[in-house]
Amino acid sequence: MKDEEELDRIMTDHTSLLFRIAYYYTKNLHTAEDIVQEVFIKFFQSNVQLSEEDLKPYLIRMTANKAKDYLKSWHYRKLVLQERLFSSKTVTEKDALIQQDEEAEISKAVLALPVKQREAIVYYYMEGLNIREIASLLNMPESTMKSRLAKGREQLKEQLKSIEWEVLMDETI
Amino acid sequence: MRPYKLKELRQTKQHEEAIIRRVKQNLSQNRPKRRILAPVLAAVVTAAALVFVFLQYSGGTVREQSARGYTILHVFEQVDGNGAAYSELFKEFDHQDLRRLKYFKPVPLTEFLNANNAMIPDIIEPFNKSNAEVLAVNDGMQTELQFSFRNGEEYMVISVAKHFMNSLYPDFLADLTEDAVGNRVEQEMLDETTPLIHQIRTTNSALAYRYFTFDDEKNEMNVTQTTANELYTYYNGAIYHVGYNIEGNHEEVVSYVKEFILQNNLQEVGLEHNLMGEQEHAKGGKSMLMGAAILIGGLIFAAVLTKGIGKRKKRIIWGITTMLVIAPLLSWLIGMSYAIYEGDGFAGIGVMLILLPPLFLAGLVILLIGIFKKETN
Repeated sequence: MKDEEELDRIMTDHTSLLFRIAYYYTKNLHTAEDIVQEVFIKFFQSNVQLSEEDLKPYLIRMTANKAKDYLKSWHYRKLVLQERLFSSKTVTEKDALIQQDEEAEISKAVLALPVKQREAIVYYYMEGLNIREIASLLNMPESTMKSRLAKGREQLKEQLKSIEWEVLMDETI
Repeated sequence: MRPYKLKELRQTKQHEEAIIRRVKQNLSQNRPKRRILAPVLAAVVTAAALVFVFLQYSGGTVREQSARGYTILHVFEQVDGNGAAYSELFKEFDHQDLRRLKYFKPVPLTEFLNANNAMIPDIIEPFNKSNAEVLAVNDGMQTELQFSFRNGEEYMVISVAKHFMNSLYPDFLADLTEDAVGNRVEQEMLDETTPLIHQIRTTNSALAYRYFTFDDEKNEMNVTQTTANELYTYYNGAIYHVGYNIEGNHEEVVSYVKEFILQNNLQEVGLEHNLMGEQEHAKGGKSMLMGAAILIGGLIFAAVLTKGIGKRKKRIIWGITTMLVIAPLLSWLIGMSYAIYEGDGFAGIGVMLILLPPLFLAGLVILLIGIFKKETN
């Protein structure tokens, strides 16, 4: 088991990134919290020793895998089903209000993408990784990554016709 | 170009703090558990190994007993031999025919009695104490003595075999008036409660009577089959089986046999001798070592297999390991160790029967928890 100081340092350095990644997949802040928490616990208990360079991709991969596992779980599928069956009008009205906000619309569009395109888009545009890094992280050929990215962009453009969404890339964090 | 952040992810400080707090909390809760499990496991295995080694080198009660009780057999010389003598009528109840024996060359009766301070009633006519012989066989734990009296064609052979179980089954004896080939069977009473079964040859055919004979030329023990009148009983922890062939009155023989059974001091001299050789002990020791090795190997394998995996899978693997490896092997090892210590195989089986079900159930419970409990942090 790693010592307290190291645990603190690793969590301070990586929690924010891992939380965002978990959210990109799960689209739920609380579930993302749970997943990152689980990733850290598993990592600390496994006593894996990694260099600083390897640690970040290792944790990202763990988080992505855990999040994908969650998307395949019965718990998640049950939630999706419930959402479809029992979504009420009041919620729809509320959504409409949010949609007036362009930023909210972008979020909605990104999170509505299928997982394969979504992960390409978020790693590239929102986490600033290059194609080679994403391909290595997700263990797939660069060409596949490029085509997923292109497809994701097409789908986003389609959904965000009213917004010059590429412009937002320059916005400060 | 700066990366774009989704609106929902711009203020995540609170979530991050919650994650860090919960991870720390979880790790601090889990830490003591992990510290306890390994030492407890190591302590159990080490204790079992130490008990095992101790029993191997100390030899336990049985070997001490055998060292003390060798006196009767000191007068005999061990020889090769084949077969076992037994009563055809009672073999289904006493299983004396299934014994694998060590054989001891006959010695004159007087030499045997003097050497061991043993006592039997004076022999009846036409037999003579001076030409009588005693031989012994041993099944690894218990000794049988065979006293042979001869006078020409006439003979009387009395065997006394230590046996742990009463072979006189009341149900069997209730309707016993003749044997399988039609010879008369009479039931005399040895004392108020113990019958003495008397098979008397009343037809031309008869059940085989078997007794040990020594072949001087080959220097080995054999079993001779013949026909004879027989007496059989179980008294004071020993089977008495007598075969005789005399021309005189049978009643005298019956009366002598009763006297022999009631008045000899052979039980006091001791008929239990653990001659289970070093080879058998080594064989037992080897299988126990093998069992211990498989058990430890299984534990290590399960520990390696479960390292760093989820609680759910961990429970499933440990549940299966407990049911299939730990429960049978641990109960067997502890049972066998206890059996060696007590010098009683039944004690070992008892311990095994007590230990196996709860260990197996514990494994089953762990497995079921693993299968049905949702993994949470």
